Amino acid sequence: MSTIFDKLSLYMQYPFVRYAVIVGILIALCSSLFGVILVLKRFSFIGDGLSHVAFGAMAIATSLKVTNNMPLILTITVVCAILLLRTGQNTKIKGDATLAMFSVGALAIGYLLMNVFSTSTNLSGDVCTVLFGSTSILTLTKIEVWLSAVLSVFVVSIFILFYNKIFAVTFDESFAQATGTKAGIYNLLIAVIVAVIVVLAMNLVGSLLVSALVIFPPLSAMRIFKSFKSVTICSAIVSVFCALTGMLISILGGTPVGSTIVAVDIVAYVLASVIGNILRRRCAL
Amino acid sequence: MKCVKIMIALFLLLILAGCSNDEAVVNRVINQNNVDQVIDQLIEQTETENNSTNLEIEPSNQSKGDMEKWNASAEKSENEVSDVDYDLTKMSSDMVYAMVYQMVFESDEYVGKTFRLEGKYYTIYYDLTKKYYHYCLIEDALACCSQGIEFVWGDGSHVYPDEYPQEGTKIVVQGTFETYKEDGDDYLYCRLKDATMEIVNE
Repeated sequence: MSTIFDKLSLYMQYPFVRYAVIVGILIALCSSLFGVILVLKRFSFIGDGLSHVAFGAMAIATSLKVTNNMPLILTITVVCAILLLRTGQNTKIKGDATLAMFSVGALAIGYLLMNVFSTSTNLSGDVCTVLFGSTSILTLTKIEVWLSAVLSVFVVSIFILFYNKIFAVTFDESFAQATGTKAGIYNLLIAVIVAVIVVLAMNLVGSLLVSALVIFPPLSAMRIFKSFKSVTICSAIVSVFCALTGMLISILGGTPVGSTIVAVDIVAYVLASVIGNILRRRCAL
Repeated sequence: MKCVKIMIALFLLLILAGCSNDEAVVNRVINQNNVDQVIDQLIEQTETENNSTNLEIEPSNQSKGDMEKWNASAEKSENEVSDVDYDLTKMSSDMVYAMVYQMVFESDEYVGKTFRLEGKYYTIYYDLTKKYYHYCLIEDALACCSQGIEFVWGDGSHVYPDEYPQEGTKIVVQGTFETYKEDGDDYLYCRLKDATMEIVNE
């Protein structure tokens, strides 16, 4: 056990490991907070769709040989998120069909662009890294670290500042609208924030596993707690704990970061389900 | 007010963790840790041996042999460690991959440092310079991505392919990190110079 701690303290001396841990925790916190809203609004799959869009955007950035690709990916993903949530309600192609169209379309175009324009000698490796994260979080540049940190703080601030309005829009949009809340604007805000989270989370778990980071912690929290506030707090704690544990396990054991974090999230969900069942049985007695 | 406090705490955490970028500290800790590990291991194993033999005054032939072996390994490790700034052979695959990434993308910070790394041997022939370049290739945890570090074995006088191992052979390379430019090429390359190469028997 002491060997593990020695190794861990040794690894923590490296700045890139410290950056990875900080950014990882912040991303996990953001994704869990807005994950609760997505799950409650039945938009769980939107994270997956947007992550595919982000993959397409990354392919465009790679083709254009953009050094710092995050702003470009962020812009494209935010625009797609707005299009998905705003125009999806008023067009002939409804809800999940629009999402599926964006999702697979972006994935296909992204892979096509990378194949045609990429100058990399290891194309399959590049695609694999983007899709599954691999060690992306450990290879962030200083600019990416700061951008991730600032965006994470921005997302958490938005959630804290607009907590009541977001709560109202999440549970009863019609009622919120009737009471004077501009539900459309808040939905737009949620769409933009979700896009930001997806782009951030891509660095941590890869674009294919982003949904897991967004939905597992809220689902785990919902197995134990019932109120919005307690679910949000529990979700944030579970998400941060799982992300940290997953990252430490992968750094120590040499396993892929993204899939290790998701595996820990699954374990947490199973544990939460067991605890939830026990609590329900006790309450029933 | 509570929200503001949380925000300040987050910022402070970020600034505190981000500011410590002293490479010397990293090096010192690596070396010290490795030597300490060997010494701790020796003490621990000696104590275990003593306990299991019920505090025998004269050590048995077996333990004497073990002690000699430990001393030899400790001396060997100490010699190995003393001239290595970054020993990547003791790191997990994620860390090795990330470290090699740092070496390639933040090369200025590592020039002059000695590295020891394990990977697969690969070579390429570059038509423009009419030279063979030798690499130690390191794969990431997903085994889909790999990064190679070029090395020059000794003074570069070894003959390829007669003296070099087959491609894909697992090797341990130790050398000093440097950056260089080829004639007529603006790209900055990096490599390990004056390197030693050992073949790992699996």
